[in-house]
Amino acid sequence: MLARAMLARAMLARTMLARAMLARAMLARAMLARAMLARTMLARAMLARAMLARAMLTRAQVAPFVRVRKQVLDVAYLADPKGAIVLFLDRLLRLTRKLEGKSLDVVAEALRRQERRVRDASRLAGISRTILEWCDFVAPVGAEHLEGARQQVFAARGTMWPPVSGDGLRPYENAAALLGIAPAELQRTLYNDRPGARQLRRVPDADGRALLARYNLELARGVLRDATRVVLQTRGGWRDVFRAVKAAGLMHELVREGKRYRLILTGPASAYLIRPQRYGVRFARVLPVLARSPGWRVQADILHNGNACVFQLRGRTRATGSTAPIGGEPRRERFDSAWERQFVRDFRRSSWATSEGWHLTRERTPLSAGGAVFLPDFTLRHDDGREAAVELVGFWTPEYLASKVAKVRAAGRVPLVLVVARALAVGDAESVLNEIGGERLLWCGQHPRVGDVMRLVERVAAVWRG
Amino acid sequence: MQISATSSGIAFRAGLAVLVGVSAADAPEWMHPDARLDALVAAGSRYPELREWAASRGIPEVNTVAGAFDAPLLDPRTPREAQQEAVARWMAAGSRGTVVLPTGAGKTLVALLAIHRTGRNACIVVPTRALVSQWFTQLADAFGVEHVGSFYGDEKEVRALTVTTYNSAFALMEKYGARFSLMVCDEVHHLADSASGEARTRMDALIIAPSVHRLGLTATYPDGQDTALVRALGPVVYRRTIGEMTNVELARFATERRYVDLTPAERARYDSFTDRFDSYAQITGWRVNAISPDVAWKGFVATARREPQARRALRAFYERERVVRMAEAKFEETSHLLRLFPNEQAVLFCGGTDVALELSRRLAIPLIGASTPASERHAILTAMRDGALRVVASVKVLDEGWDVPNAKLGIILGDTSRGGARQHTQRLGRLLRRQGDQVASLFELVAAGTWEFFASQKRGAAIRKVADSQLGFGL
Repeated sequence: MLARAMLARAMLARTMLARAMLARAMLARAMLARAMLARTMLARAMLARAMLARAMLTRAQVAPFVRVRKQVLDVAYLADPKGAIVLFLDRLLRLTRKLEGKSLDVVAEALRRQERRVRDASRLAGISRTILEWCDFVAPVGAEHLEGARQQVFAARGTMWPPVSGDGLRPYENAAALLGIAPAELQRTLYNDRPGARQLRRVPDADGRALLARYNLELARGVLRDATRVVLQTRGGWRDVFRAVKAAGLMHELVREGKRYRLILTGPASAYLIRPQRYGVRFARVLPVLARSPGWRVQADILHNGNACVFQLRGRTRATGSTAPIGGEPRRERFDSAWERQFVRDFRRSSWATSEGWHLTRERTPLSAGGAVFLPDFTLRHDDGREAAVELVGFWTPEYLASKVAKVRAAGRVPLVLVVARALAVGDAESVLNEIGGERLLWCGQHPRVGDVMRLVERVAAVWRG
Repeated sequence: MQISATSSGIAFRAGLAVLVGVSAADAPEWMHPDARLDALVAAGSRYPELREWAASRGIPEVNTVAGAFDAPLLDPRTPREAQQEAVARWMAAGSRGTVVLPTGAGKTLVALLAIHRTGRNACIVVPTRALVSQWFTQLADAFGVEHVGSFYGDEKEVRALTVTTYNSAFALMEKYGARFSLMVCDEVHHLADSASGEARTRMDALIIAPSVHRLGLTATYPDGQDTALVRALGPVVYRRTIGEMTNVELARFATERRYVDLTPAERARYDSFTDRFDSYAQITGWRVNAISPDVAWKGFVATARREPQARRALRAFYERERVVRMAEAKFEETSHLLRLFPNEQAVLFCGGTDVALELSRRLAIPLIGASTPASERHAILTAMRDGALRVVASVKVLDEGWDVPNAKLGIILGDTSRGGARQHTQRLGRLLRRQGDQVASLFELVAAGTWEFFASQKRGAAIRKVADSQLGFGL
C-alpha cells in the first residue's frame, strides 16, 4: 500500500513536473513567437521608413528638365549615348569615396566645384544631391555632448558680461576641461552637431551606371511632387508597395485587368484642397519602393504651373545608347521566412510545376475588400486559367491569427489557402481558424508539404472573373 | 479607426468627414460618394455640421471625440479692457473670427482667455518654430506643462493644447484633427490671398480641420485680400489700432546706422569679385536689355545654369555678398555696442548662418537658426525671458512674432532680403514691447562703399513709412 502510494505520489509529481515543463516550454515559445513577430514588424517598419525618408531633388534641380507639350509632360532624362557620362559619374563617385571622413559641407562643396567640368550646373547639382542622399553620414565623435557644452559656455559668458577684447576663450575653459579638450578646440567644434558637420561614413558600392539610373529616378520623383493622382502597375513586389502606400497616408483603389493590377493612388482630401497636389511628395515617396519591383510603370496626373497634364514613366534599369535608364534600385527575391524559401524550392522541383501545369509566382495577388488589402505569399496559376492564393503562417499567436482571419474574411470569395503550422502554434486559436472554414485551411507539421498544399489548391482554385 | 460598412456611423478620417451606412439620398446634399472608402465624404471642416446632422438622427460617432479642457487659467495678468472685449465679441460671433490688435497689445492673452472660456482642446498654429517655443512656454505657464505639446519637425507630441507651424498643421489635422475643437491661428496675415497663391495653400489645413471654434490673431490684417480667410476663420470680430490705444504698450525707439570699413584684404576681394561680375554684365548687357530688374536677374540666373562664364559671374556675386556679410569690422562693432549697453538684453539679426555661427563662437553667445534643435531653442528662449542670457544671435527665425519684453537692443548685421521693408519692420517690432520708459535701440551695421549702402537706404525708407503711419513712436 505504502509502496503504491509512494509510487502514485512520485507519478503525480512527475506529471506535475512534466506539466510545468510543458507550460514553461509553451510560455517560452509564445515569447519567442511574439519576439519574432515584433522583430519582423520592426524590420518592415524600418524598411518602409528608410525608403520613404529619402530626400528629393529641389524644384530648381528638376524644373529645367521638364517640358509640357500638348498636355503631356516629358522629362529630359540623362542618357549616355557615347559612354562619357557614366565615366564622369564614376569619377564623381571616386571623388566622394576619397572624402570619406570629411564633413557633409566639405563633400558638397567638392562636388559643386566639379561644375567647371560640366555644361549644365543644374544637372550636376541634381547628381550631387543624389550622391549625397545615397551616402551614409554620421555625427562626429562627441557630438552628442555639444548641446550641453554650449549651455555651459553660454552660461559662463553670462557671468563674464560684457565680452571684452581678449577674453574670447575664457567662457570655454570649464566646458572644455570637462570634455578633455582645449578651449580653442571646443570653440572650433562648438556646432559640430549640426547637419552640415556630419561626417561621410560610407559611399554606396555602386558604379556610374547605377548612379545614372538613380538620378533619373530622382528626376521622376521631382515631377511627382506636383501629382494629383498616380496609377501604378507592377508584376510583383506588391507587399512593399502597399506598405509604402499605407505609410505615406495615401488612399488607393485596386483595379484588375486580366492578370495585371492597376493601383490608383489619391490623396484622401485632395478634391477639397486649394493645392490638390499637396500629396505629391507622398506619391514621390512610394516611387523608390515601386522601383524595386519588376516591370513597374507609373501614370500620373500632374498640375504643372497650374495646367493639367499627364506624365508617364516606365522602369528601365539596363537602358543603353540614347535611352536613359530609370530606376536601378537593387532587386532581390526576399522571403519572409525560411518556410517560404523551402516551399518555393520544393514546388519548383515537384511534378506539379513540371508536368501538372501549375505555376507559382511570388507576385502577391492583392486581395482587396472594403478598403482592406491582404497580400498572400504566393499565387498559383494553372494553364487553364484557374488560380488560388496561398498564405503560409509560421510562428503565430491567437491575436496575429485573428487579424489574418479577419483579412481573409474581408477578401471574401477569392480562393485562398491558409497553411498553418500546428507545431508552431501558440495558444488555442483553433476556434478562430474554424471560422474561415476547413476547406481552405491546411494544418501542417514542421513545414508544409507541396503535395498537401497542391491537392487543396486543386480543390479550391477557380477562374477569376473580374 | 475602423468603420464598418454594415452599420451607420460618422467619423473624421485623414481630413475627411465620413458617413457610412447611409444612402446618398438620405444624407446631407454636401456629402459625396467616395469609392475608396465605400462611404459618403466631405471636407473635414464640415465635420461639425455632420455631427449635428448625425446627432439629430441618432447616428453614432466612431471617432475619439475632442476632449473637454478644464484646467484652470493660472496666468496672473489681469486682462485689459481691450482683451476682455475682444474675447467677448469673439464668443458672441459664435467663437469664430479674427481679432486685430497692434504689436504689444496682448494678443496671446486673448488666445489664452479664448481657450479657457471655450473649455475645449485647442490647436495653436504659428508661422515659425521660434514662435512654437514661445507659445509652448506661455501655454505651459498659463495651464500647466502637462497639458501642452508641440507638433513640428522631429518633435511630435500631441496633447490637449498642441502648438504647430503652418507647415506642419496639415499633417497634424489630418491625423489628430478630431481631438481639437478650437483652432487658434496666430499671425493670420500669413494666410492672405496673394498673387502667387503660395500663402493661400496654407489654408488647406483649415479646410480639413474639424474644429468648430476658430480664432485668428494678427496686428496687420490683410484687408481686401481676405476672402478665403473669412471663409475659413470668420470675419474680423474686433479691431483696435495704435491710434485708438493711447498710452499703449509700445516702446519708443531710436534707429542708428553705423558704417564700418572693410579691411584692405576684404576690399581687394570685394573689388575683384565686383569687377568679374560687372564685366560680364557689360559684355552681355543682361541688365539693360530686360524689361525689369527682376526679369533680368531671373534671365541671368537661368543663363548661369548653362554658361560657364555666367556661372563664374554669379559665383563672384555670391562671394562678394559673403565678403560684406562677414566683414571683420562688423564683429568688432558688435562687441563694441554690447559693451556700450552692458545692461540691455540684445538680439543680433544676422544675414546668414555663417555670420551667426561666427558670432556665436567668437562671443560665446547662443544662436537660434533653422537647424537649432527644439530642446536647445526652447532652453535659449526661456533663458532669455528669465534674463539668464544677455544676448541671442538669429538668422531669420526670430524676425517675426517672437519677443522678449526686456530686449531693447537690436543690432542688424545683415538681412536676407537685401533691404526688404517687411523684414526690417518686423525686426524692429521685436523690440517694441513697452517696459516702463525704456527706449528701444536698433543699430544697423553697414559696410561702407559696398552694395549694402543701398540696402540700408531701402530699410531706412521702410522705417520712416512705418514710423509715420502705424507706429508713430519714433524718436
